[in-house]
Amino acid sequence: MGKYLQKRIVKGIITFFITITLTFLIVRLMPADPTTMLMDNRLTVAQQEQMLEDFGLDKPLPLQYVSFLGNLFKGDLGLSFMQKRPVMDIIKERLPWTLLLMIVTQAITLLIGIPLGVYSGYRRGSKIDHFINGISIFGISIFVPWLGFTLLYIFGYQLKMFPVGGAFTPGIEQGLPYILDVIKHLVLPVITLVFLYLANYVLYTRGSIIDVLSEDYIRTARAKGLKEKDVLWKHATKNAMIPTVTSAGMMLGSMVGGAVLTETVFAYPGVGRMIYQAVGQQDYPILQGAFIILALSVIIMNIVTDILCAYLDPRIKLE
Amino acid sequence: MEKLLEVRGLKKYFALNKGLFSKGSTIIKAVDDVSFDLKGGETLGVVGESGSGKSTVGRSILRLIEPTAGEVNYKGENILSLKGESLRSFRKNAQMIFQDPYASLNPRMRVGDAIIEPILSHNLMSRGDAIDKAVELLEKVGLDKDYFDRFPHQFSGGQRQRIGIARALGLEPEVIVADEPVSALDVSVQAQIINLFKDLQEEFGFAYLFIAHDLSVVKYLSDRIAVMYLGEIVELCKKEELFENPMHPYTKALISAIPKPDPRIKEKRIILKGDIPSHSNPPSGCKFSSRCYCVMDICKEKHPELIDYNGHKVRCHLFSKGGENNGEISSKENC
Repeated sequence: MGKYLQKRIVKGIITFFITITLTFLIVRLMPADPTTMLMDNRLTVAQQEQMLEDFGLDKPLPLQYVSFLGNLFKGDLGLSFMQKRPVMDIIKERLPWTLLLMIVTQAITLLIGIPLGVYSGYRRGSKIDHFINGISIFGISIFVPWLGFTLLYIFGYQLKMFPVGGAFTPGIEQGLPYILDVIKHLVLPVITLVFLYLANYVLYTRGSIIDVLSEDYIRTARAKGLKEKDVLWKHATKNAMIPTVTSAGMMLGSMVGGAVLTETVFAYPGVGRMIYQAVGQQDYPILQGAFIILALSVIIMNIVTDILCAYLDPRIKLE
Repeated sequence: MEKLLEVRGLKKYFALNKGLFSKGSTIIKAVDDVSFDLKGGETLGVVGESGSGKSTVGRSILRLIEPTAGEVNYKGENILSLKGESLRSFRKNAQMIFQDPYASLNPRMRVGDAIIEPILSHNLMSRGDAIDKAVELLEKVGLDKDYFDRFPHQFSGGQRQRIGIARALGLEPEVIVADEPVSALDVSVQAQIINLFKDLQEEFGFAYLFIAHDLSVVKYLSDRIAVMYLGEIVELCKKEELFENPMHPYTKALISAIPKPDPRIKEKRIILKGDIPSHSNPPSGCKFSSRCYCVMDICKEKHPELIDYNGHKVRCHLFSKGGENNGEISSKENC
């Protein structure tokens, strides 16, 4: 176990280095630098050069890379071109909102998706199975802004049941009213995202359950005289969870990248909307920072998923 | 001895859909009108080639698949009409041991849990007692009690089959259906497992329905033997009788195919021509007529009945009235 973990972590670190190097290079290949971004007739050449020096962009690429790595390990992701604030601070503001949104979404999707998938696989070919499949395929195929705007129009604008945007109402800042307010703001984006992610869990689980139900040990379980519900939930579901866990792990890993479209539609102050804004403003340090955090999170979640799978399936040896 | 199981006219037909765009389906008669009795404490061997329907018989009488027609009476009660809870409690009395010891154990379950699970599910005893019982069973089938907490993948095929046996014994069943329990194992391990079967039967006194394609395995264990061909029983009698005086040409061919350990014995082997015919299109008349070396005209026209000669049942026109032997048991060689 310990040795496996070590190996896995070393692999993760190597992957991380490759990712940040690529991120570094891609951002440098972009056609804009802060001076062209902030190009202003009032800026003199000397001022432009001063600015490049401030951002460290006058040095050759290898030197920039070394200082980039050095800063990274100090937790410094550089300064935002537009906001002139440390990228780390901006991400720190945005990340909790995205995590809140995504964790709630994933938890609800798992809670709904797994039972739906199990049931639909168990009753394969039935009307209920077709219905569940239909809903999930519809959800994954739908254009997210359309769904978001429709929900906003009906429940936000017409019925006035939920706020039309943001993550909280300024002014209410603590206690129970604050919590309720945050929940109210979460409802519509969460519904949109659950719809979007549902198919992943339902279809993985369904396919896996269908496979497992034809296994010999399921026949053994029935021959033992177990109750059908034990056969399905104890023997079949536990064995069928591995693909679902793997896909959940990957989705949770990419979660810190936020949901760009959904967060933008709902004006939700998360990482996704930050990325959207940074693209528009060509604010590369923010994009670079977001990619690095995203890479780190995906790598960590992959390690966690591998360990979880080994726990779920004793045949996967950890040595 | 009392009759434990009475199987009457058991049929299992499968509908085979022709394809995506053509309508209609072919009927596959996997088991066609099979009847036999199983008495308490006896072993009935069922032999036949792959596709003869022997596994389907075994699974049908435990209701692991639903038979199309027929009756299976367990102590006078027709188990084919049982539903829900009463079916579940019947399964306490009849357990199955499966062919593939690798696939038939849940890979996520510790073997001890796999053994105690049915005991707990049928509320037979408390968890503590069930654990004691499982440990005792592990030792009885020749495994160390420390194996309780291990997972199936940590065992060899023979050990896993022992686990499968221990699991089946946990419910103290009166009938055990063993579906080719040794065919996936090495020959040396086969011998150990077969001996274990024999010892356990002497100790617990349950009845076996022992399904195999290997006549020598069946010979060693069985009291009576049923020979199946294309879903039908073609011969059914006491073991000694079957080996000393086989009547059906198919049985004779099977017996002649058993390898003899002594190379000096030169015995003519009867080689059957061709493969087992397709289920969807069996030969008319006697189903064995397409491969039979004693085939007569009547065999292709009329389907023979299973006729009882003093407890030796055979389905062959050679022995029916008007046939070559005119209802007498032939003493001629081969036919």
